Amino acid sequence: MTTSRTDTFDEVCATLRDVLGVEPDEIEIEREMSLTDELGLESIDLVAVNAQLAERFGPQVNLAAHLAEMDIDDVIALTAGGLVDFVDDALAHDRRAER
Amino acid sequence: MTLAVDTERVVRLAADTPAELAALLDPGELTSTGEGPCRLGLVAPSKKSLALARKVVTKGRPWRGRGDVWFTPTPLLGGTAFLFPGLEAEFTPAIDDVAAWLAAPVPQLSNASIGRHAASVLAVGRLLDRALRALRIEPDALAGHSVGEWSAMTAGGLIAEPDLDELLRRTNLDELPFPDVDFGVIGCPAAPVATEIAARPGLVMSHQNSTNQTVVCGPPSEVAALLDEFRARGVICQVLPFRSGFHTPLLRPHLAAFEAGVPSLPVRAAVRPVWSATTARPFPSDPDAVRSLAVRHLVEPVRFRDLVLGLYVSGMRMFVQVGAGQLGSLVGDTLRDVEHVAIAANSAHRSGVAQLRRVATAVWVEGGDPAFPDERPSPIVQLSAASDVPKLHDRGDGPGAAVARLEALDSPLGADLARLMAEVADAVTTVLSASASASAQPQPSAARPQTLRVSTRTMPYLLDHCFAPQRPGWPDETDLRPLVPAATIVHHLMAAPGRPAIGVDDVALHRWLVAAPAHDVPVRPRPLDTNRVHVSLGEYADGVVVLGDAHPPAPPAWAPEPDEQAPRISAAQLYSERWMFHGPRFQGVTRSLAIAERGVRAEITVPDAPGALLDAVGQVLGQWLVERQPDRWIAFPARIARIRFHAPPPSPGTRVECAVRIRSLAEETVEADVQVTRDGRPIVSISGWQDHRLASDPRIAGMHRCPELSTVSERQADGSWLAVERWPDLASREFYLHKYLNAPERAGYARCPPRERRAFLLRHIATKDAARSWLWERGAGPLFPAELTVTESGVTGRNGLAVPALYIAVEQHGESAAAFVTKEKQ
Repeated sequence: MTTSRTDTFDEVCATLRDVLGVEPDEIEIEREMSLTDELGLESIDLVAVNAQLAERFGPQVNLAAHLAEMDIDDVIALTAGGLVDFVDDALAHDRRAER
Repeated sequence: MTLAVDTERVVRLAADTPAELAALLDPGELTSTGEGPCRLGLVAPSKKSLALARKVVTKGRPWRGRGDVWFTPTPLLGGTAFLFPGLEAEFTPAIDDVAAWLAAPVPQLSNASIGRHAASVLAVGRLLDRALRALRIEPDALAGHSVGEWSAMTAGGLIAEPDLDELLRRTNLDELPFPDVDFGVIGCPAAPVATEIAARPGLVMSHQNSTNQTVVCGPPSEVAALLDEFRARGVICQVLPFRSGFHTPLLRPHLAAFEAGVPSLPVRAAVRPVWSATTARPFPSDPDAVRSLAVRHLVEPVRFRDLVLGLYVSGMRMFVQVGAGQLGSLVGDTLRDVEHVAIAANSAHRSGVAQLRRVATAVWVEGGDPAFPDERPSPIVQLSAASDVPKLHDRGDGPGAAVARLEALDSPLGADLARLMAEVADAVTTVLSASASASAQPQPSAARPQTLRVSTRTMPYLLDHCFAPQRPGWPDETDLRPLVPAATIVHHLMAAPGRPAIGVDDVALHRWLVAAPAHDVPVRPRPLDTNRVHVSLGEYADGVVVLGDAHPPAPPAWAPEPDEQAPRISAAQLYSERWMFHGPRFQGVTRSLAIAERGVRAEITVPDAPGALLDAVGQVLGQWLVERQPDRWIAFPARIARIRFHAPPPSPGTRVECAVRIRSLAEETVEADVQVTRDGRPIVSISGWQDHRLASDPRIAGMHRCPELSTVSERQADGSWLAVERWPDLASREFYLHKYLNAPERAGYARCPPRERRAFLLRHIATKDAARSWLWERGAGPLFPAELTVTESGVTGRNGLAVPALYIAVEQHGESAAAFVTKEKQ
């Protein structure tokens, strides 16, 4: 089974909206939007994002480990699209590992 | 002097109802207008924010700041707390324009050393405190995080500003001695961190910041190892870029240098309540006690989460972060389920004055009357005693109503807060009558961790508490799923301190504690004060055990509910018809006495097994659910707010009466209060017993009661067996999974990618139901699903069950699976 990038984007948006406590018609999320500046996520919110991504996609999607490899400026600059790419990479890597 | 202040338009609209407010938003010239409790504020309105405003006003639910839109249908009534940040990883305050607006000198900021960083944080806090007061935004309570507490003490009047200034002048900020230890921020609650550091003596917990953030402190290599451990579990972690060892015993070798600091200053009378994050209570009034608490602040953990909860129950609803950084997000994390406003008076995203404009807008929308920075600054008045200051907003009802609101919350936080409400009331009383010095307060001492062996060998009675019954003599114990009951967990929590206990508060059951395979669980008692010990049982459960030599006096016994009727199900039927899954050693209910719209009574004959009395209490609540909530009756304890024993626990064989009163009922939870009486006198009082409810319509509940005779799948006209998912939540899915899958199949399920697990389970259910019904039709007796193993083309028997070779075809469509026995193999 493969996941198209659109699916991942929708799931990531649903996660972000859930953490922000907003509904789809209230905040439009675009790939280029930064999580902190434009969407207003605080670092503690990443804990909830992390947990929801693992719940939606499985434990191989470990945002905690990913963030640990980034410096603080990269974390601040992280965009919705960047998060989608990370999820897709983690899923692809996991599929490779299974083979 | 020209003020370097930017300007932005603020539009303020007010009306009596959201509909009237929406009318004010009709296209046309937008100007501030209207009166009424329903308010909308827009800073620098744009096409986009106007569109958002129309949406949120139409929906009529509060919207607090995203997209520079603030809206409330009715103002959030309550007090305002000022929260002063401490040192954070990022320190980029925007204050130059604020100083210009106030015509005050711009503070020199630096984070070149810890001492300078701290002094800079204090200076920013003081400037913003002045700015807020110039906007007529005043605190009803003040508190701070870490060194921010010194700002709170100064702003609240406990310390005089000139005294603090003089202290900073004579301190060499670059030469302060600090231990060489790291702070590690961990994105999870305190309990799992406490469990993990129990075995790492070099590490201590320094901050309980919020529901999902905990900080540890210790040697860099040990902190790094712990953070790696948590990251491997998918927990977000970060090492802070400064080392101080503050709020831990690791600072003790250097304590003298810091005792000569803030704790040495003259203590004045506070003009507004200042709260301590060490005790999560207001500072005491006695100066010696204040000084003593200022020393404890240096070496004891920051309990910021408890502080925020305490402020909330004392009536604070608006939390203003008086500084830069992310302190407000800790408030948001802790008060996630209850209405509040958390707003920062400074932000890295915009100029200082622009952010103050947003604070004023937020305060106005919630019914306040602030000035706006585009007006001339109001003359700054010194804070006077709280009673002289008109309240921004006053709900005008007493604590009783507040408790009722909290209790009505459909959230675990509700119980937390209701408990705290009582404690805060106690604390306020204590402060008022305080004469004892804080030095008399007990110092928590390290307690010895213990280990609890959880197995059916050490706890043979658990064989009568199995969630997935199997055929007699079934060899694989893991298929039986023996579980330690919540009540037995409470028993072990109360036993852990090794001293007489009279009750336990705030029991939280985090995970099922399964006894097969056998394993060891760390039991960690941690004294909180002279008579309270926090005890955790690994990551499975925790609670606060209340010690005492004398049992608290019993309240009056409850009168029977006026609408009592005879129960439909007798005590014997509860077990024989398997409404309760308990075996003989947990069958404590011996007579069903009465049932009512919101209550149930039964006789319990105390069984032998540890905790079996309280387990039977849970079964009495269970009977109410069976009779009154037949479409969703299966439930298991999740939290218990308070248990008190008014007498020694009754010995086995004693007959007692149990009365349960339903306090609240929701789709996911039921909450009850309980009295256990002996000879008409209460011997146990329980409040806030909360069960988590699982999906249990009659068909799937049949699988819970008699799995060897029931199917979840339904036979279709074409003879196939159709399994559809009847449980929307993961907890319920896990529950039924154990009824169907045997150990190898569960391992297969665990290996499945999460998105395929649902289909995996449905395929197994349909296949096993098709096979069992085929066998039943040919004279087979009771068959448990675990007795069959699903293969590529059918099923095989497990542990000695002989099954004819069957071909079973399965068709799977998303939410359902249909299985059909095509033919017998030759």
